Amino acid sequence: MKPTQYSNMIDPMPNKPNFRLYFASLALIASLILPTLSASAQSGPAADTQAEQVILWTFIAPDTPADSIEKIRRGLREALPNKGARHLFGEKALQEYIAQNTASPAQCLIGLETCVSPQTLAFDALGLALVIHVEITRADAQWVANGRWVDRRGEVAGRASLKALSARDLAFELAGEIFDSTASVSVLSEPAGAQVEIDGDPVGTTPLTYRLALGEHRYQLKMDHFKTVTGTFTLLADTAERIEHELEAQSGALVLLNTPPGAQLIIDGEPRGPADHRVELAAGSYEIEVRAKGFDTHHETLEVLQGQAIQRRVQMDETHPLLRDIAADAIVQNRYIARLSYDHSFQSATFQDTRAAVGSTRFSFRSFRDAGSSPPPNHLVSPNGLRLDFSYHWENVGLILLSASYLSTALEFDALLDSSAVNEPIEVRIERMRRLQLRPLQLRYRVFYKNLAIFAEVGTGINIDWIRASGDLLDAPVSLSNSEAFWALGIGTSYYFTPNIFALFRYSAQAYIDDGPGTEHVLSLGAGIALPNIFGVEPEPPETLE
Amino acid sequence: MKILRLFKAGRMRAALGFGAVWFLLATPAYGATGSDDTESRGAAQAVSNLEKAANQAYNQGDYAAAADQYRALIQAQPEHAVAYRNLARSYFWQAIYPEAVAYYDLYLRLAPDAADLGQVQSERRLAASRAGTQVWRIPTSQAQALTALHSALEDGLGLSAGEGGAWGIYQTLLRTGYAQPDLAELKRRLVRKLLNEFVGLLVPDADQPAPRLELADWTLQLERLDAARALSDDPGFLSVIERRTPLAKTAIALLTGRFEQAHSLSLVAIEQNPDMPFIRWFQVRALLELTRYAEALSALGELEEYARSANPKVLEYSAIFRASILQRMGRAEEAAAIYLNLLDGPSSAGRGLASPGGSGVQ
Repeated sequence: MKPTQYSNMIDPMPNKPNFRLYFASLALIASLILPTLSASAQSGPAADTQAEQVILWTFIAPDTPADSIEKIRRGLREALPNKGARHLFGEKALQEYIAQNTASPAQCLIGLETCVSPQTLAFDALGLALVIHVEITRADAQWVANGRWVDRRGEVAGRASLKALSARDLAFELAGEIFDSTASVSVLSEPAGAQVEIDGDPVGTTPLTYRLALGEHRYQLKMDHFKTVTGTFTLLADTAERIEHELEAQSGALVLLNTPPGAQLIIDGEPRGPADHRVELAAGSYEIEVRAKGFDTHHETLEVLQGQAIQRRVQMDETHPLLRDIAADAIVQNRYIARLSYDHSFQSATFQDTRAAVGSTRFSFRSFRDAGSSPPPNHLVSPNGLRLDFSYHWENVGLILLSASYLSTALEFDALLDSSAVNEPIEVRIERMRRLQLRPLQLRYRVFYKNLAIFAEVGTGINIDWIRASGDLLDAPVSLSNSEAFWALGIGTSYYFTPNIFALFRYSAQAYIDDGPGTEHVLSLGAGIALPNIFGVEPEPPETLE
Repeated sequence: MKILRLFKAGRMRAALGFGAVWFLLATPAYGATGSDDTESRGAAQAVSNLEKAANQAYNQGDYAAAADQYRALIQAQPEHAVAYRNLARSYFWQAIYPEAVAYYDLYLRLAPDAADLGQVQSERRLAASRAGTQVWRIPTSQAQALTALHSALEDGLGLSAGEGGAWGIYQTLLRTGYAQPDLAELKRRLVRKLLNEFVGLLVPDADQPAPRLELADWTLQLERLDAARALSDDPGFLSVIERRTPLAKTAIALLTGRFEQAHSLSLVAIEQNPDMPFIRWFQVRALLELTRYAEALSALGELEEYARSANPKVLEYSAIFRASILQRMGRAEEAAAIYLNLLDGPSSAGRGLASPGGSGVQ
């Protein structure tokens, strides 16, 4: 704290007798120490907080005697004994001061700092703490001074209108009025260079010292990458306020959005708690990882700048217990596919047109036989067996080169056979049925979802049935057969364990071209193997390039 | 098998002949940029040398070295289709089939009408069959770097201190061995970002005479231009880079005390960048530091003439500069008049501080 020359004043009113006595004594002291102070005043503009304050006075005195301004100056020199401040009275003093000093060019003009107002820059260039403009007039045999003083912000910090009987008295009253209504404030920061705002106006960068009107003021220190500091201070008469702050570096922050419930954040291998919480981070590059139960882990590299808050939307896929991430590309490389399945067929069979020849005797199926008066035209048969097929596949489209299935079932149907040996139908029992199906060419289409291939197949085939009939009138069981063509349409899915091995499930409907046999419904459950190029006929790349 | 290979190599030579013609026709940028600019020509020559070296390594059977060089070639010229095919072949002979398949695919994508399409498709099929269950996937390091690069290009910095930002991530991506056609677009985006960032930082804040940049910022600005130059072979971009470079060099020379150089660079910068009038402040400051006060005043006059129409608000700043120069020239009266005019401030407009006699400032 640096007390001003008015620190002993109790009553701030300038026209009291004790005030005059006080300044008179100060003037005496000043005259004793003036040479020393004058010498020190030769130094350059105030550059740091401890330097002497320079105060510029300007005067205009219209309609007053030519020496009136000089009288006022003399009075001020007495009233203001240069203690802690150097006063430049008028333009001439300013010119001398300028001639003796060299102002550093403002760094803000080449972008090294933010330019405050031109007025403030002028204050800086001259190292001024205050500029006081005084207009002197005469009224009713009295001296009148209208003063206003401007601070570093270029703002009028105060005004006064004073009267006195003599120029000297007026000077003393003016000095008392002004220096009782302003006080000095120093603002420092670590690091230096913070932009200072007082009452919302930028006034320069730290460190700085200047005078302000008394009273409460707001201040703000701003600097890139550091947290802004705000506060208030109250300037009291005869005091010097000192504001000092160590600026706190601003950290960056990361906010992750759209993270699954319970997701945990790991930064550079270190767990950092729930992923949906804001995380403060110093500037730098980070490997972030978000883990959540039931979701694929999310990895990302992030760069955080000082003071930068990053918001990142995270898209995490659920991990499915069955659906695995086998790339379709890996599967489609395997163009040769063999499948073996267990087929179970359901059909309302009529056995129409099944025939046999035993020696010269020909047999043909006539009808089913039942206890009732009208025998059923068909019976449900459900043969089962194996199917084997081979196919060649492009990415989606495939060609089933050959598909063969062999199914059989035991039957217990009573039936009637026509025989060329007798006129009446022979009563027999259908004991067994065997079925061979050949599908020479089928078209297949598939689409992939993860390791699932969903497919549809269409094609034609030929069905050969054998049924074995035995009866009292037959020496030996007779095997009747028939062949029919059919259309087949199947849909199903393949589940790939690896790009080579898979399981399959299929439903196919086989509609016989002949009206007799009913549509056959086949369920298949099986496994398959997919192989890459096994014939080795593809050309290799050249061994030399031009 | 050897006979088969030779036979196919013969076919391949013919295909390569067509491929080379196709390549020259399809990429006129090689010749065009080379004839326009020495730097571009140098870059094209470097790429050509790289390709020769890669082919030589391939022909000598050093497929690992060839693959490295083809990768570098792709990183330099991401749209150079043949490099992908040859990289695929280098992988093939190293029995790294999944990578071979991936690069064959990239070649087929970049050169769908190539003369050797049939041959390459066959090679790809063979590689795919030998790859079996293995499928090439972008390595995690590359995927992470790529994601980070996209993110930085979207909302980060092009270049931050310490070679960070998108540029730093791009370098990391290259170090991971990433060699894909999208590098071309990434490079273009990065160059645009670097140039936009450079120019964006040169826009002074409202009513400020110059952009708020210190020596480290200017050095970074120059690095931005250097990075953009290293990435670009586009004559348009290169021209912008060359035009902008003296701006940064002027500032750096001034802030490092090389005032003579700063002045001569400022003349070039002013001439080439009429849209960047702030550089005139640097010119005046350089002349001031060189104690060439008369020239400084003259340059300041030109600055004021420009500012009068473009940004009159900075004229008061130029007055401060003028007063400072006059003060150094010993013209204290003129300097004092300027200071007094400024110090009087707006609140006393019309008071006539400079008026003579008893009614004037004393």
